[in-house]
Amino acid sequence: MRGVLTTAVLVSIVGVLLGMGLGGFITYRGLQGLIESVPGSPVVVGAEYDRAANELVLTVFNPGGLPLTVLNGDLVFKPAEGEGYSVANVPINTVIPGQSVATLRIRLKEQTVKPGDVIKGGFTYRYPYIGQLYYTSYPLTVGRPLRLNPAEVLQRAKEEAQKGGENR
Amino acid sequence: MRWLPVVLVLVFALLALAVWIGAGLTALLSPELVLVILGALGFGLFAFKLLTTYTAVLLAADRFLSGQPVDKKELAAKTSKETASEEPLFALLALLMASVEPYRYAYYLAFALLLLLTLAAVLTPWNDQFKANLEALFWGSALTTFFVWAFESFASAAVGEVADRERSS
Repeated sequence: MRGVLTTAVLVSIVGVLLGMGLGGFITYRGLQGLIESVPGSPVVVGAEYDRAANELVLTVFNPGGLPLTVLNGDLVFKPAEGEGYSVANVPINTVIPGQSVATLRIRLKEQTVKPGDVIKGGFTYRYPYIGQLYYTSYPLTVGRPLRLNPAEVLQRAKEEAQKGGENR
Repeated sequence: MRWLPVVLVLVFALLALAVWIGAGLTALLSPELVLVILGALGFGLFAFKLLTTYTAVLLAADRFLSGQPVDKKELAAKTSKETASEEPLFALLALLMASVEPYRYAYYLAFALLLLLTLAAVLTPWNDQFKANLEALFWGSALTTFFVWAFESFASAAVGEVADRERSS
């Protein structure tokens, strides 16, 4: 049988742990509710040129809580040599839920793509209820694909911001 | 004593009003918080007999250890043994604690079931709000369970103290 003092110490420890758990739960739910209402800017975490399908493949991460609807995409092709072109209003109509990743594909014109060419893919998107259209784009240099981990991107961005620098 | 029912009804109405206002206000702020409170109160109903018994044991032990007289007959009436008041106090208190053992097991069983259900729900890809509600209920019940466990531990430690004192005297 435990003594009174031992019991008091044990009960205190368990009480502190329980308080941490309960407080953590309430804080977590509060924070989740807040985050769910934040429209976050989509982050392009992956970009590459799919030679077989002749498509630009963008992997987009929605770091906010609100789902975003990608309406349509566009594309500017700037070869290292010669004439480029642009494609506008490629319908996409994809919903990216909060905190998740989606893949967007935009087909290029039939023209030879060489390493070093730049393909700038962009898309317009909107949020529920907010009557505003947003646009973002990513310039891909062919031969230098982008493959990043969303969590790592956000972590690096935060570190850079804390350093006070805006350099990439 | 003719006014007693009136007073009781008034007290009950006042409590009900307080609970209603409190629950309404809390529900406005966060449904999870109100579920935590409801979980604590709901399990509090289950735990009521346990808590009152352990409190009685603690109060009797405290009176005995500080040298005040203890009404053994009143304590013995709560146990199933009629001659319990002739036993030494520590044995009487131990009997009293043993008498709520089935309640204790039933209570911990209910808590364990809720714990398992919550764990199962949290680990499955169900609706997030449902999972959060279940977890809120669990945290509320954990709060009450902590009190039950603490009271039980302290009561059992107090019985040990009483036994030590009675043996040495």
